Amino acid sequence: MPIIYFLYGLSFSGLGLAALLQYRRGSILPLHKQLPWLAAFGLAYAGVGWADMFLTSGLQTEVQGILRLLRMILQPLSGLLLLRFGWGMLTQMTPLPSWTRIIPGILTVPLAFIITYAATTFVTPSPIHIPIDIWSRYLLYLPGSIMAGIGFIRQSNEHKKRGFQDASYLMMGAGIAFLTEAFIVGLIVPAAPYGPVSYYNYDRVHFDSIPADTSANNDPFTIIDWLDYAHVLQATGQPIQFWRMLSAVALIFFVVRSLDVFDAIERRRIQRLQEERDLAHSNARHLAESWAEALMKINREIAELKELDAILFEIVCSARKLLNSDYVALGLLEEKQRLMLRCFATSETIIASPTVGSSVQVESELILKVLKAAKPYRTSGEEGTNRLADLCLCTDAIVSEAAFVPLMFNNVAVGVLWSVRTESDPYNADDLPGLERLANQAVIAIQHGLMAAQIQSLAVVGERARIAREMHDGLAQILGYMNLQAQTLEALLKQNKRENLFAEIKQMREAIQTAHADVRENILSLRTTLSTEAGVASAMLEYLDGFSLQTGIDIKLQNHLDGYLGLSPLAEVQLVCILQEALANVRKHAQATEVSITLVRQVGCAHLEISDNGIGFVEQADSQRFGLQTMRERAQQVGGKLSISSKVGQGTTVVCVLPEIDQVNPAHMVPMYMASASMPDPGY
Amino acid sequence: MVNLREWALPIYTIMMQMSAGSMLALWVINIVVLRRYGHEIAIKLIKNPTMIIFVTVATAMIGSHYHLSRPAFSLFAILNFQSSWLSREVAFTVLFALLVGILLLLIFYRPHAAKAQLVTGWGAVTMGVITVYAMSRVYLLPTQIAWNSITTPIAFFCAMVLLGGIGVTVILLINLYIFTLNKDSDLPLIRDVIQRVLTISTGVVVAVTIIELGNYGFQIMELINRGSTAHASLDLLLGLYRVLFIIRVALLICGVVALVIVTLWQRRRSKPLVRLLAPVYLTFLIFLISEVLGRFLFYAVHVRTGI
Repeated sequence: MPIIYFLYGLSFSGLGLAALLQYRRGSILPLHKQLPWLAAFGLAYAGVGWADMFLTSGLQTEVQGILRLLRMILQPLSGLLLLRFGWGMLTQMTPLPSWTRIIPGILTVPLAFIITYAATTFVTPSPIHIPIDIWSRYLLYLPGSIMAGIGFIRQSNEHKKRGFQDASYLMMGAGIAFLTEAFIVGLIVPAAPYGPVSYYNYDRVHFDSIPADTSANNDPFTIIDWLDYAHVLQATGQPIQFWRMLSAVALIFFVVRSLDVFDAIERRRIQRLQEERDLAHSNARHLAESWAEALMKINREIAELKELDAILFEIVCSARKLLNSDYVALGLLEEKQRLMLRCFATSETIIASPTVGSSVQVESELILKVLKAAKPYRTSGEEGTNRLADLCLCTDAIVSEAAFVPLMFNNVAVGVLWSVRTESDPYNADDLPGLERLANQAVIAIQHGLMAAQIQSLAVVGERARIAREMHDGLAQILGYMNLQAQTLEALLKQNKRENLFAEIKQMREAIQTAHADVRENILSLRTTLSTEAGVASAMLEYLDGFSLQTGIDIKLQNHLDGYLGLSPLAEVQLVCILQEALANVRKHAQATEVSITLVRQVGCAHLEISDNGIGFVEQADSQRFGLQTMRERAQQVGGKLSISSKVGQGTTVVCVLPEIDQVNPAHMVPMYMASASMPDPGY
Repeated sequence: MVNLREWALPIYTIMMQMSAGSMLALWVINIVVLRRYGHEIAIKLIKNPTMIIFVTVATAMIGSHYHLSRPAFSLFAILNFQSSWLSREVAFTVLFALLVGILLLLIFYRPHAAKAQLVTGWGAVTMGVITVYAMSRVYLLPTQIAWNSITTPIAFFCAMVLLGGIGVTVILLINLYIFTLNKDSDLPLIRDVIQRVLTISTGVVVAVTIIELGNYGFQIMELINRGSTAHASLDLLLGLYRVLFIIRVALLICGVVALVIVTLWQRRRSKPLVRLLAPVYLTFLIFLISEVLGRFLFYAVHVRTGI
């Protein structure tokens, strides 16, 4: 028997220590708050078990008295601790159903009678430790174990709902173990001469208890006494203390294993946090990539000098997607300092009104405030409905949150880019820099648009100068010569020198034919240069056909392009001009019958090679031939280079290499004087 | 289980006295509310308490059967109605239970039959009081010196009023809690009624406690002066059961002090009434334990005289 009690005490001390250690490790689970009570109960009840061990091992009477006193204190104390633990498990872990509020009311009268009945048993002749033992079990262990058991079973269901299947089984095991403990420890008590103790007891005769009352076996309300010490011993071959010890071991196993749930849940929590962190990183990376991709796309469109409106629309569309907004719009100041809606993009849920496309003035107080302050702003859910009312122009959308950034051009706000959400989801601080980057792109697009317009007008001016020069060098010289020839013809006619007259007329005809060829070539060049909409390759083909017809020179073109030359519009113009200049030289000077032209795209460059079978010429280092110099300057202007090789009697080869748009140095694209250009008209 | 059977008597007597007292208190409250606020408020107030009283009476009647050797023949006891107070007690108990049951049916199925409810209620109150009187008369036996005294009916009626008063207060506070949760439209009126009930019941409880304590003093004086059998009873009360007797009196005093403190605290600090539910409930539990202990002592100290 002492061994059984030793193991019994050992089991509960293990439970107490396990609960204590688990409590010190800390947890966010509600069960954690109940662990001190469980630990205290385990340690106190272990003291009861070990006191029983010493009491049954035949100690001296004085020591027995002290141990019995200690036991009388520890037993109700451990019962109270178990009751507190059970109450906590039942009521403080998961809210109880509302109907359970009536239970205290129902229990009032029975509880009053039971307490009174318990009080009266203390005046019976049995030793005082017997009723203490009995009522500690009936009033403390029994309800405490039942509450703890039900609490664990409820927790089992909770964990099952959360998907912790293994923890759920352990909790269920702990719950059933507590309910079994309630039956074995709470109901089976020492023998005493009052019911129901006299029928449900384990008859601890070695504690001077009074033998169970057996006089009421004929009583109509008697329950068969099959749980007393003798019956259990006879039926199982082991005393009831042994089964109680086994029950305790099962209880400790399930409870301690249930405490492992803490670790499991903590591990899962950490794993979940790591997954959330990885997901957040992934999302952030994806978002950053999306931003970079959008900005690159916009940059490319700007560099390709696409239509400004198309670029601005791309910007608002990108902003809407990247900021997960329902509406994004861009407004620009016009000459009269009125802010006009330039473009907007909406989500599928928002329907734009039929006023789209017409001139819409922005009158929102918030937008004008941002324009005036020239600082970004975002709402934080506290803006009044009226202030947000007119942000979604051309739609009926109701605004909940909005973010605004000004378009800064030379430190002056020239417009506003604003983003709107219809759901109550405020923009965060990280959203504004993104929107600002897009606003900057819009400003750059506007600058580029302005520069392109100025470059185009510059090109027109240059072309006029070239035509003037051509007319001065060609047609004007011919006309001057014709005037002199006319006077010569008049003199010869007066002198009646017919032979000389015919010779002069022949020279005049040749001069007129030359002038006519020049004029036709210039007309062809002008037409070709200006008609680039169909693509530079097709324009060149068209020009070459005309040139061949006019001059009778056989043109062989080897076009290795796949339709796209990859040059900027300016470079395309220069390439065509270089080709025209080279062919004009062939016609004028080379006396060639055949010209071979190769057009190919290689390693980020466009290659143009023009070779003829003419007379060639001697290359000189300080050669400043006007036509050749012009061709070199045209190539250099767009970041390319031009080389000429020729030998007398072996023809001439001109090679022009122009870089594609991605390879070009912006310094070659944007003349410095363009940087101080003023704001374009919004109607540009 | 033999000694447990003896507990059927305290269970029955205490629960019947509590039921009769609750019925009396409830009906007095009902009459006052009927006159001041009308039938709608009154029926709202008495619905749940009547149900609880009926359950208590039924439990008491079932519990009383555990005292009998042959429970199936319990109703035959009323055959001696003319000569036996025990038969009369059984008969009046049955009538009381029937009338409370009928009242409950009227409240649930004929809620507007105010007059029928009024008559039935008064009938139930009368039967309850008569039952308690008959109950006390059962113990007025010449062979039982400790019981055969005016102190027995006084003790029974004191228990009736004490447990009835505080019991109804607890039930009404539970009612108030439910009405508050449901945000009842008549909450201010109900709160007003329960506030008055709490004050009056506290006064009644104080008075009854004083009477009970005086009754104990009077009983001890009687036992001293009524011969050797009475002395034996007194020896039991102040000897073997001294601790229980002290606990009984101490609980009574503690209960009344706690109730007075709670009531004064609520009135002076203007605390919400629903916050009194737990303290008043605990006070009721103290009174109940005290009364059950008193009833145990009542049965425990009697010594039979003669053959």
